[in-house]
Formats: sequence, structure tokens, C-alpha cells
Amino acid sequence: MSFDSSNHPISPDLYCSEVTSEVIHLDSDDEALKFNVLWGDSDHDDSDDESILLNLLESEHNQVQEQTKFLGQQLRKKTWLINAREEAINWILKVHAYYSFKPETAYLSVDYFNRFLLSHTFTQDKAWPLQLLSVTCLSLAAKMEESKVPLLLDLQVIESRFLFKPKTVQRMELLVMASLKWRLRTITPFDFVHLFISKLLCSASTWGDLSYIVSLVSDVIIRTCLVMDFLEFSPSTIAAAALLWVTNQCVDDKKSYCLHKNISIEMVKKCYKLMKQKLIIRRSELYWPKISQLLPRSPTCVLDHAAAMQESSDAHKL
Amino acid sequence: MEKPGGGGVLSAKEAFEKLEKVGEGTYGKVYRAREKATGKIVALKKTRLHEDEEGVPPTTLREVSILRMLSRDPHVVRLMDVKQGQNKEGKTVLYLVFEYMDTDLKKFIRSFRQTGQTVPPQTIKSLMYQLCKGVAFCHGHGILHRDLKPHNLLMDPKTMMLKIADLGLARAFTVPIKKYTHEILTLWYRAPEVLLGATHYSMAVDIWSVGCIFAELVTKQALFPGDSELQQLLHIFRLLGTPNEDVWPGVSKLMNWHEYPQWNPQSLSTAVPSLDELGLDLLSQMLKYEPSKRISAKKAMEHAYFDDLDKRHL
Repeated sequence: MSFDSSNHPISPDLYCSEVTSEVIHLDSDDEALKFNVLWGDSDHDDSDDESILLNLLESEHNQVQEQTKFLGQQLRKKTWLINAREEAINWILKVHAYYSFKPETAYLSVDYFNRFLLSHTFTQDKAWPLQLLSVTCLSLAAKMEESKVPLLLDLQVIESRFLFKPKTVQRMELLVMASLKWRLRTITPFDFVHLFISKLLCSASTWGDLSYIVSLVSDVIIRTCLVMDFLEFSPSTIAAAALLWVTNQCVDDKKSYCLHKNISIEMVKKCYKLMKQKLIIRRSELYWPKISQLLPRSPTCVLDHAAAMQESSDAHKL
Repeated sequence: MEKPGGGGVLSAKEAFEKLEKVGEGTYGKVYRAREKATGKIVALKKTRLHEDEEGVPPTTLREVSILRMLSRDPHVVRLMDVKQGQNKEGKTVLYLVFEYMDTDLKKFIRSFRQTGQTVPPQTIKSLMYQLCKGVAFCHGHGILHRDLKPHNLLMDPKTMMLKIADLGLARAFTVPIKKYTHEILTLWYRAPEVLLGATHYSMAVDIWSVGCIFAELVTKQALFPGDSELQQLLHIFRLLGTPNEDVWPGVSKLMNWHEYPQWNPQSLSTAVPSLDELGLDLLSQMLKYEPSKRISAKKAMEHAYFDDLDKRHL
């Protein structure tokens, strides 16, 4: 069965909406409170950040050794699987946008999907196993990250060619988790973004700028999920490259690559170059076509946002 | 799709002999059991999957995956395996296989209360150091526990080793902290910002709990034994003074804030009379109203209160 997708319009400019909200309320007391609670900057201690970063990099190293070296190689041997994988990930990202899930949820869904593919063989003639895997990985990621998790049937409302019973998804969940050795809490680029931002933008950041940059970086990171070539890079490398890519658009002056001595400068450069090459070309194919434009930080961005929604709605009718 | 062969793996029932039920966890029962192959004693935590068939509960997913990440620290309980099984009605159940610990801090404190003895000061110091170390390890890996209480702190009474358990409510976080729902936490150890409805909260909520546990180890009574959220707040305010914008900027903007009776702060020594000056200082830093001013677990380990503790085996 399939659903008429016009009944479930995809929310446009997920991150634009977030940034708009933050910009409008920039001067409110709530924002001041948020700023204080989040950063507690009078007591901010760099050594704590450094300690967290070291722990993350150590965990990341252990994680990377286990999996990502071989995944790209194995996937490339099967041309049909490359396309099927991209189709599956596109589906995950649509549901992600529909429910306004966090960026981490999207990234983890794809991570579980990739890791499962690494250890299991799929035959080309059937489409439903990959769809079931997509639903399952998205469900697991949502349970790990989201406060409110849709029902398993509701997760399948968007453009699903197959509809799986909850019991079926549950059995698949157990299979996936056993395959992943129950390691669902994995290091992602999002673990590094704020730590890197605090190194890169120490004195320049205000709450509004920070929120905006985080949204842009998150968008770039999610897009890397669709491009298999990014599988060779560690999460910290992707985070560093995405941040540098975004800030080079937003901030004119050049920034140092030395976010941490354990991060390879060469790999960051290579990843950065790949982002430039791949993501610009693919930008129009994704779901947030206007995210890369700089938003005017004024109330008129509400009108821009409304216009964007109208455009999206009109485009959908074509 | 090719499925991995399950025939060679023992089911939970075949692999373990249940000896006795020792408790009720968040989603199910906990048993002391013996692994038949090795004779080793373990704790089996049985988790029923949702009746509504929505798959594995989020709390189980989080607990297992977080424990898989944290279990190499000696002060976090070790998850050895996850087994699938079926109950009498043929429904799938999961068994989390943990190292077995004989007792917990709640029982430990109660045993001293019953005999009328005080917990030896060096024992308190050792247990508190281990607790700070375990919490620092969790926080250093981006994990909030969010339900620290004596019942969740397992102990070996022979070695006085302490381990953090029950991470079903634990949450991964990135810095800065993301929004979390107002989920259930045991009242007595709940931080004031949670009680007042803050949706952005941080590692500091665990430190508040650590402070409450510290005081309880000394006095053998809960520091703030409220029986409702309001009573919990009033207990806190009576001792630490009713907070205001001077001592806690932003407090009056929190969701659950309203007018409260105005109390002046009392000295902590009135609540914990037998604790020495260094201990009182550490406790006061754990019980700061403003979350960002609360001491971190890592810094607590460096506090002078622990200077005379032999840390070589901890």
C-alpha cells in the first residue's frame, strides 16, 4: 500500500524555523537564562571540555576500528545496493523531517543501517527487507534520542511501499541490536560540534550566531549520510570539516585547522574538499533548499519563512 | 535476507539457573542466578517487551547501549551479556546479564541505622570518592544518570567497592545540554531545577543527588525526604533558604516557580552535625542552587576532603 504524500507535506526549512525562533527571541529573558544555563560562562572551564573531547576521541577510535574501514569497500562491490541504500536513506530523511526529529536521530538511523549492511547479505530481487531495515533503524534511533517516539505504524506513513506490523518490526529490532552488539550509543559528529565551535568562535559567538551555525552544520552533517564516500571519515573529521565549511561561508577570515592535535589535518582537508564537491551539486535535491542562504536577523525573516513555505506548497502542487 | 543461525546459542533459560528474586527494576524483575556453564553467580534483569508491541522499550535500549559504552569503568556495574528468551505465554523477554553485587547503599545505610552505629568516616570518604569517580566517568563520556540514589549504588560489603547501576533513565548529552522531558526521578535526590520545571538541565542534576547521598551516609537519614514535589522544594528551602534572583539568577523564570514562604539559609552543620569542615565545604559545593556553580564530579575528586584517603586501590 502507499500513501498520498500530498496529505503529509514535508515541513520546509526545519532548521530555518529553529533559527527564526531563536533570532526573534534573542533579547528575551528566557534567552538570557538559556545562555546562562547552557554555558555558565563565568565558570566555564576549558579543562572539562578538553577532558570530554579526549574521551570522545578515544571512544571514537575504538568505534571506528570496528566498522567503517570496510563498509565503503563492501558496498561498492554491489551497484544495486548503492542505489537501494540511497533510496532507503532518502526515505529515512523524509520521515525525519516529517516528525521534526533531531539531527542526531537521522544520523544514528543511517549509522545503524550501514553497520547492519556490513554484516548481512541482502539479495537484489526483494525490496521489502531494506524497507523493514529502514523502519527498524529509524525506530531504534528515535527511541534512543527523541522524547516522544511515534508508534511503529505511524513511522511508516510516508511513501512506504510496504507496511510492517509492529510485531515484525520488533523482531527486526532484536535482530539489528544483536547484530550491532547492542552498541546503539555511538559517537556521532554532533558530539563534537559544540566543542569545536567553542574552540573556533570563542569571542565571536552570541547565542543567535551560535544557534544559526549549529543549524547549518547539522544540515551539512546530515547530507553526508547520503554520500557513501564520507564513510571513510571519522565523526570528528566530518564535524570539523562541516564546521569549517559553514563558517567559511559565514565568517570571512580564515580559521585554524588545529581543533585538536589528535585530529588529522589532512583528513579534514580531504573531507572538506569532498563536501564542497558533492554537497553543492546535490543541494537542490535535498529537503532544505533555502537553508544555505543567510537569514536576515530581523522580524522580516518571518515573512521570508512564510514565503518559503508558500513556495514549497506551490511547488508541491506541480 | 540471510538470518544469523540462532540454533547454536543457548536460550536464557537453558544457560542460567534462577536462584531467587532479588528486586524489581524499572521494567521488570531482577534475579540472582547461576550460569550453568561456569557456575558463576550473576544478576539477571528481566525485561518484558511492551504489551503494545512497540518494540524494545527506550529505557532498555538506552541502558544497554550506554552500559556497553561505560562498562570498562570499575565503578559502573558491568553488563556481561544480553539474552533473548520466552516467558510462559510465549512472549519474547530480554535478560540483561550483570555481574552480581551483594548489596546496595540503601541496605548498607539501613543496617547502620538498625544497629545505632555510625558509618565510619573513612568508609564514607572511600564510598564518596568512588561515587564521584563513577559519576565523573559517566559525565566524561557524555552520560547523565538522572536517577542516582542509594538503591542504585551497588556494593560489595567485603571490599567496600561501589558501583553505579540502573542507567535506564540515563541520557547521552552533547554540550550544551539539549532539552529533556520531565521524566520521573526519585523525589528525595531530585535537583531543585528539575523540581522547578527546568527543561534544560545538565550534569549538575547528578551532582545534587551525590550531595544528598553524601549527607545521608553521614546522618543515616535522607537529607530532604519530601513526599510531594512541593514538599520536596520546601524541605530544600528550609535548609538552604528560599532562592531568589540574587543567589540563583533566572530562578523566578522557571516554569513551576511561584511565591514560596521565605526562609533564610541555615548552616549545613545543623543538618549534618558530625561532618568535618572539609566535608561540609564539599557538600555545600554540591548543593549550590545555581546549577552552573555546582562542583563537577571531577573537581570533587580533587577536593581536600579526600586528601587523606588512600586511593591506590580505588
